[in-house]
Amino acid sequence: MSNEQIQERHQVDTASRVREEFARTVPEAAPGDPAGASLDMDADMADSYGLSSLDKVLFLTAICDTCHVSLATFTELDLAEMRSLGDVVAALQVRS
Amino acid sequence: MTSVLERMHSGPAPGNRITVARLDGTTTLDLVELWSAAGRVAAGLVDMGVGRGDRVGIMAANGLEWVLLDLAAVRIGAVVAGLEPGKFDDPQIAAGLRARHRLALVFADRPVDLSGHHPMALVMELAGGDATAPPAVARGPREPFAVKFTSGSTGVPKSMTASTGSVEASIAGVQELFGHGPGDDLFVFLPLSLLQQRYWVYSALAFGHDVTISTYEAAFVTMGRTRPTVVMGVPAFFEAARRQIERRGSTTDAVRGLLGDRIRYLWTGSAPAAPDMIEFFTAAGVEIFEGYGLNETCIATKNAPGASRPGSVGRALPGRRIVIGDDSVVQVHSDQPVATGYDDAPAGESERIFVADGMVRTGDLGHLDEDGYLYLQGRADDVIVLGNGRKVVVRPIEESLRSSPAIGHAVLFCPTDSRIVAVVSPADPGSDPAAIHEHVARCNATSAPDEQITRVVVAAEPFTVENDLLTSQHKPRRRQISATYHHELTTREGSHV
Repeated sequence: MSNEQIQERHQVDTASRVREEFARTVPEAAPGDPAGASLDMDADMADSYGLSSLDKVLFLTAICDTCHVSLATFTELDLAEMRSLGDVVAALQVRS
Repeated sequence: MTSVLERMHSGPAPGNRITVARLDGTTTLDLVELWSAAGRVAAGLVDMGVGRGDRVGIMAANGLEWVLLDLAAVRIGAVVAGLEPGKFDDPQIAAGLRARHRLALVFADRPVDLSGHHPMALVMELAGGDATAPPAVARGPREPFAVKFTSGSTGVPKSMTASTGSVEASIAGVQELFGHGPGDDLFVFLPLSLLQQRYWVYSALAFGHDVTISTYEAAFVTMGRTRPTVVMGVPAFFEAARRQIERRGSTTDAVRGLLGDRIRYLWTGSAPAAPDMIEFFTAAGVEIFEGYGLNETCIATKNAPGASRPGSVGRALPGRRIVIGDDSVVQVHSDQPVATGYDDAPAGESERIFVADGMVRTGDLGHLDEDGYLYLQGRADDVIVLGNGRKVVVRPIEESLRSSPAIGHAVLFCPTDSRIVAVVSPADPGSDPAAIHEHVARCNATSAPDEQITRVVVAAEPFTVENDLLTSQHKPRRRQISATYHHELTTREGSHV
């Protein structure tokens, strides 16, 4: 497998984990869809899915655990700037 | 009896610490060192022309600088106005803020349009200098201590000046109930711009215990690491903690993993706590004490060790008295009132709340049991309390929505504790849904962020007296509307704005 293919695979894995974790944190955002396949990766998590600030912290804590990325590698500002699931995937990929 | 401020001014005993725990690291300082550094910052403030009674605005995330600047102001008798980041971003609110609240200086940790401000980094420069601390200034109980802000019905936060006596009475009252002392570590993550969160720093200095300052974002990852004995939170936080513990299997290890292994009790207030959340932590072996108070009353009642009843918000703190009016509205009398009115509210608003000397009409309905425990039963007026404790007065927003010819009535709800949803009754069955949405969007554009409507449920049929959604005076029946549209309100149906 080439480096590019490995990177692409990694990206898909992270995105799947992010979707699944988000669907677990906010089940009403993806009713009947535990894998979160129906989630829009570009949508604002708060505005579109009603993610509260606390649930955002919980979601990010959980996804960091799952992806073996320490939440302590982020600053409070980094967290504030993650507005969509796509932002979360990008931030995790930089650190994993 | 030595007052809380006198205890603080006499300097802390060595051996207790302040820890600042943020996502990117932890700083720990002995309280003696903290008080000494705050003295050097106080000297800097005096050099900058700040004196007794002068107001200093602070707009910054929780951190050591915040604490040092606040303590410096306390030392010289200055009055701190905590400006919660995000709440004053609206250029219309920021414009003239300094003049409106007579702020001599403003410190901020971010770029803000406040007609000149000092960076928070300056605080650390002053703390690192070698200036001699100015003498500590004593204040009388009626003298101003801090400026508090509370949600305004127009989107502009209202302010009131909290008296020194009210601050001292609240801290002393809590101390009488909870006996914080050596070995305790109080964990604070809510914004220090809220005066009550700063109480726990004053308490550490006055009564000799540790205190940990964290941030909203870092709280979940730092509690286990810093091992507090008390967590100062709000219901939404403990609900989130509960979910986290449940995800980890609801075991003792899961509780300790999140909260640390030294918890003596959890403190909750600012918004009503769900009984099952209280039961969850109690069953997990962690005591959680609910209390009650408004910005206007400070901490009015509190459950406490050995004096706690499920379903109640506890008994009145020493120096407070709860009076239930003929209309079942809870009134709080304080020997040391927070204030006698708002500094800058529209005419009549102060008189509506501050009804007599030391008495505050809360607008909450409740009753007392024979032993003086207070039980709340909802709001007499139409106020939504968000999960973050902020109050949204819904009537002006609903009236503004009704100004559209397409809208007959609008009633606001907050089914998720954080987002406002409007159930809109069309003016007639043929009203254009697009016109309704456009009007809601226009209203949102002029509302504060917390007051914006995120979702609209258009009623299947207009509210009428006949379908029991309007009173005979044609006022919306809030409870019936909530019950009728329960499904749409709780399943995220309807249109997002």
